[in-house]
Amino acid sequence: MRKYSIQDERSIRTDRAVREWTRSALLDKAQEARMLPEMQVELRRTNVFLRFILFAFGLLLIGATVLLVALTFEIKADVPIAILCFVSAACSLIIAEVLVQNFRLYRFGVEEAAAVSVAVLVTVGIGILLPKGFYGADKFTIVIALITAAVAAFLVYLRYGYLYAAVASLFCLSVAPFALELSESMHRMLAAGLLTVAFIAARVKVMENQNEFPGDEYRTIQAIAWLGIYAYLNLHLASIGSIFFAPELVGPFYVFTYAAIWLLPPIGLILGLRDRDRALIDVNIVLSLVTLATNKPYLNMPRETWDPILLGLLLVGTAVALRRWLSKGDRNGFTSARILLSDKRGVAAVATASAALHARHPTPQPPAQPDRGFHGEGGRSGGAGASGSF
Amino acid sequence: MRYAVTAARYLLGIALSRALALPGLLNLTMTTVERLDNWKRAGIITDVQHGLLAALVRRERFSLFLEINALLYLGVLSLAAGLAWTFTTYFQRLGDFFILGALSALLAASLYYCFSRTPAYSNEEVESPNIVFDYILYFACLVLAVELGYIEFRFEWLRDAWNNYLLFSSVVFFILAYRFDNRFVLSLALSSLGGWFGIHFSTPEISSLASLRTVALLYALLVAVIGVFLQRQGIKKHFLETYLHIAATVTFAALISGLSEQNATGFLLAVLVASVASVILGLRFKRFMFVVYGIVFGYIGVSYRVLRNVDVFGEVLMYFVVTGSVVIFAVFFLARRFAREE
Repeated sequence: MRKYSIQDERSIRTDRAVREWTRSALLDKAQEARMLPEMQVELRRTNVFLRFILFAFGLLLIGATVLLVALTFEIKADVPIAILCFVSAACSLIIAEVLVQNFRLYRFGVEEAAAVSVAVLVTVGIGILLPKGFYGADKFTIVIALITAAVAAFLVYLRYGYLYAAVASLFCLSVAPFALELSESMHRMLAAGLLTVAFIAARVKVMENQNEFPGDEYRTIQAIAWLGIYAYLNLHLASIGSIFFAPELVGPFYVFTYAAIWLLPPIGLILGLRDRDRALIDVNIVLSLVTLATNKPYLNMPRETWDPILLGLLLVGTAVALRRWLSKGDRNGFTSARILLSDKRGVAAVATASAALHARHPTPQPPAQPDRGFHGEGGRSGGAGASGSF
Repeated sequence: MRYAVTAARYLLGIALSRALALPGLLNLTMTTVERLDNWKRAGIITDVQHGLLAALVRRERFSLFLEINALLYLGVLSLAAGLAWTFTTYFQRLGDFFILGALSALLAASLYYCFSRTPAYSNEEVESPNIVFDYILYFACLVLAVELGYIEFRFEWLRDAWNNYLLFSSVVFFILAYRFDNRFVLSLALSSLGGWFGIHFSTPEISSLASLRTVALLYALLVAVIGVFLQRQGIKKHFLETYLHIAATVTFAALISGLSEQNATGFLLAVLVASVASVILGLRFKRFMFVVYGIVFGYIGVSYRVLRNVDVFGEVLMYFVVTGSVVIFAVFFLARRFAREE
């Protein structure tokens, strides 16, 4: 099923690791030069930036081409449009296969755009063929379209190994219950249940493969499924971001979800630390923060100005305590020290990107005392990010 | 015996997959640990290296460096924001003396910690004494910003000239960023300088999109010049990329905003020149993010100008098909020529 062989996938990962070890001064250049030839594969790769451009323009090209064909041949009825979608999907699939088979592209962007287009076009085609189509608000149509999208995206993942396709598949699958005529609590339970199945399945595969490919892929899927379970069970995500839906639920289900948002992060953290699974650890650190941020809305308590201070003290205190604990003797292999250069680069990238955050929340700001009737506007740009309210 | 089997698998796998060119058909896959074992036996790596690398692969040695950094960064931001919010909300109850005293004490303690533990200054990159150090300095800078903001909030010493606080804090942040080799503080300095530029040169009389655009371009030019000058002087060369990222994004945003003007040919030309320069320099120095800036902003600029007068949907689609194909072929060539390895 998979287009790339396990040997190639493993060679690529080992190749990356050897380069990273050399950059991190764990190996020298001479050692790297002797190791790398072994991992040579007949696949063409590029860096993540050019990959992004090729992916974006590939999607643009395919989308524009399909629309242009529809416009040129005046295809307007449902069935011909659906046929056009299926034919386009077949063409996209052939393009993706040819690009991988003949041009030997691997994570090159353009073949990814073709593969992703297959899933999108098949979903649109099926959606149009079903009674009333997408815009008829027919629940059955929406459910079938979402399931089609989930299956198509998962097939793309199985064939080409694009992790984002697996994530999209999980998302479509878990959203599908919301189109059914059920209560809000049942929607969420079903969605969380489906993701729990996905989590368990991914976990079983992780156990089988451990530290080698495809274990790394399953670890990511497992962490994303866990994140999704939490997201469906936290009813107050809207309090930290308006993009989330805010349901009005009370009663036992409300209490159950409150217990769940406190239980899931520690359980996930324990699993992540036990398995030394970075994806699961990082996801559960984020979930812990979200739980703290949504605790007061859950309890219907007002936010106080000192809440951020307490949160800040907790985070800094946790980090300092963890560092001190790790620095005192052997901690079963865990360390606070930087081992790889990529970690340092990641921090540097965040530091550079933080300029955008500072620009949004400027400091210092002009006088804005409430009793003088002045209202600060948040400023135009620049500053330190700590006092946007001045 | 185990080593013999592993070695046999290894040799057979390489020989068959390469010579017969049948990757994927044979299930002769080698794990990273097995490769490490072979490299050790072949004398390519030492026992110590093998031990460390195998421990990394097996996750027996696991660094929480990134996670601790993330906790510290979010913690410091949250703490400073909370202080600012609390003090401005409860200043009447807490009193100026307490608030300024508390902020000054925090600032002094943080700076004392940094100055007492810092290694000697060097023009080269200097490693922090510990993982917490950088964030304590960052916290000190945020507290300074909060304190300056509070002083003006309460006492209005500078009134209409309050933006000079931004200039002052920017200068202080620059000095601290270079003294302690801290990119977070450098970003703070650059954005404070941007704030000062934006407010100082955009008085109500001349405030308009055009004047803001000019100010933004001036700011971007200054940032780029400072960055390149310091890099040429050999002072913290690794900071250059931060300067250039900020200069590039501000430049492109300013130029693209000019395309909505009536007579925008000059802006279009400027976008194209900046795009080509960004792509060429990005490729030359293998900083591919600048290639992305050049291609994406250049494409947006050209498309905006070309499509603004096109009313026929088919022509719009044809434009995307043709230009999309051109970009894909061009980037495909660039990727093969300049960026083969990941």
